[in-house]
Amino acid sequence: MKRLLYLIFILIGVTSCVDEENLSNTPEGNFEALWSIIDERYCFFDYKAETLGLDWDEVHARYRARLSDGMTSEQLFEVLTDMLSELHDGHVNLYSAGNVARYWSWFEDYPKNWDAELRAAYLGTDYRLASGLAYKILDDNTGYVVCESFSSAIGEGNISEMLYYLRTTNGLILDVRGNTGGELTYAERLASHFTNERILVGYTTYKTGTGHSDFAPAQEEWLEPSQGVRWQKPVVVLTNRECYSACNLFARDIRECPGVTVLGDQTGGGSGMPFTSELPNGWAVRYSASPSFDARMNQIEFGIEPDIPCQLDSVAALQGYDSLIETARELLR
Amino acid sequence: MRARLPITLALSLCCLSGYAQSERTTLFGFGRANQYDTYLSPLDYTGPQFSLSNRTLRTLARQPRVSFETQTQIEYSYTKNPTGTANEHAGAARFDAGWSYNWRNLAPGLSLSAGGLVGTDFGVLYNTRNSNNPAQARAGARLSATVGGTYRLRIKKRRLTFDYKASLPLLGCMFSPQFGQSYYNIFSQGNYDHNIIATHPGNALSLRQRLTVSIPVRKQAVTLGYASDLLQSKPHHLRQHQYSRYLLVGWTFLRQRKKTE
Repeated sequence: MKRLLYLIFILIGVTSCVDEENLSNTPEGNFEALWSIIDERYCFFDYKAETLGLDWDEVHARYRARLSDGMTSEQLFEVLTDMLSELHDGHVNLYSAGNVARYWSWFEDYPKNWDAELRAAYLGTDYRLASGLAYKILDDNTGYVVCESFSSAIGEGNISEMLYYLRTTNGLILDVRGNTGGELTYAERLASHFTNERILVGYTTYKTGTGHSDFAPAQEEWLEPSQGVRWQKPVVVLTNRECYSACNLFARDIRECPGVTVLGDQTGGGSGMPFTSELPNGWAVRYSASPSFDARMNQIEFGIEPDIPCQLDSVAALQGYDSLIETARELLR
Repeated sequence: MRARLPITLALSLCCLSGYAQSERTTLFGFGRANQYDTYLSPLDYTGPQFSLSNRTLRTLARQPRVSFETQTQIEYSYTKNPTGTANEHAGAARFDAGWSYNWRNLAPGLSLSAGGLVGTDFGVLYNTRNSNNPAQARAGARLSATVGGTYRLRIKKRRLTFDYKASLPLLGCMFSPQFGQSYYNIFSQGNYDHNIIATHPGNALSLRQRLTVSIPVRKQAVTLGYASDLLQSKPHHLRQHQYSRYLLVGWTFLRQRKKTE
């Protein structure tokens, strides 16, 4: 009987061993927590060491020196923001109650290449709207579709109805400029209406451990043809630097489809699916956790180059012409 | 005894309908939970937990030393991180069934038991703030060893029954994504990557304990108690625990002895 009781008490003691790490809510504790989360879970260290010369241990030493015991929360936020900016990643953010740390140079440092008023002029007021897709037939019988975001639901029915309406046009302009992403499912769904066959569009992987190079073998990503209306005519996709995240993957997928030309500026990138974690002081942190590649296993974290580079002509814009749309119309004639 | 035990258990399978005595205990639990899952957060979330459990215990007519037991439990917890800036909802359902061999009257009023349980559980832990890793699914099956003891004590005219039971999972399996694998990758892209893993005390050392006292009221009994569930696992470099401690209150229905065959 005594032995049995001893056994029970031993088991009770032993089972309390999977416990949280000792993370203190101090400037140092929060700094170390953030550095470790990124160190163990961020997915682009090898690539950014190669392209940017990033050394995360050196970053630790450099920013650790900026800490002090008496620093305010605001000052700590600034140090952590600067440290995260070393990653050059738009999917990396730090959220406090009063601010969001962000790296937006992927579009802020480049020409915008689209103008909201010009786009509105092309659409007019009589355009049709299917979920997030605005579309109309231009006066030269070109179909024009604007997809500003993949955040709101886009259904099979929405896309099929739209393509059926545009079926008599010469070709389609699919304008995703300014689309900063959203749900991958909607991006894939839209792309799936532009192929009749299953296409290899890229690869993906994810971390299997805490080391910078601990990844699962890359897995193929296939685009399955939609069971709804499938477009059979030429398509020109308009892109700019604001095409990010899910829109970046949309550009990756659709450029593999037959009859599709990508025109405009390089996309913004953002090929790492972001995960969320947090610091002892309650600030949330978002980071790229799972990278995707194109069909030739190239990194697309910093964007995808267009088939035909084209910049917005500011002089033509003053006259009411969007040079990307006009170039696309020429291509489709 | 060793040779007879498997035969006894096999026989008991065939004569479940002929039980000699049975009791059913329904308990409502309320207490505190610690939820920790590094797939969602490196922080330990704490908050209230509620549970509803049902336990049936049948003593077999032909083999009065063998009892058959089922345990069903549903639970819910609402927990917050240490600074209260994020919260998690957790819900789970558990079912276990098994047999125990009983050594009765080892001392006046004292019985001990040992046996095994086969069980399964399903649930989810949902973090309301996270983006592409908002939730962690819980699913598993296990074979557990159990030990228990019952002590009957008469105070004035009431005969109180103290009951203790502990179960230790020995072998099983559980679902887990890889360290940085998204559920989108598993379920939308269909990439299975060792997401069902074997569990044993080396990677999922857990212990569930319950101590109750039943106080007879007419032919039934009011049951009060305390439970402690220490559930842990370390799949794919992730670290998880759910520590629950809660008070129990409910009732026990005693059923009349049935004639068998």
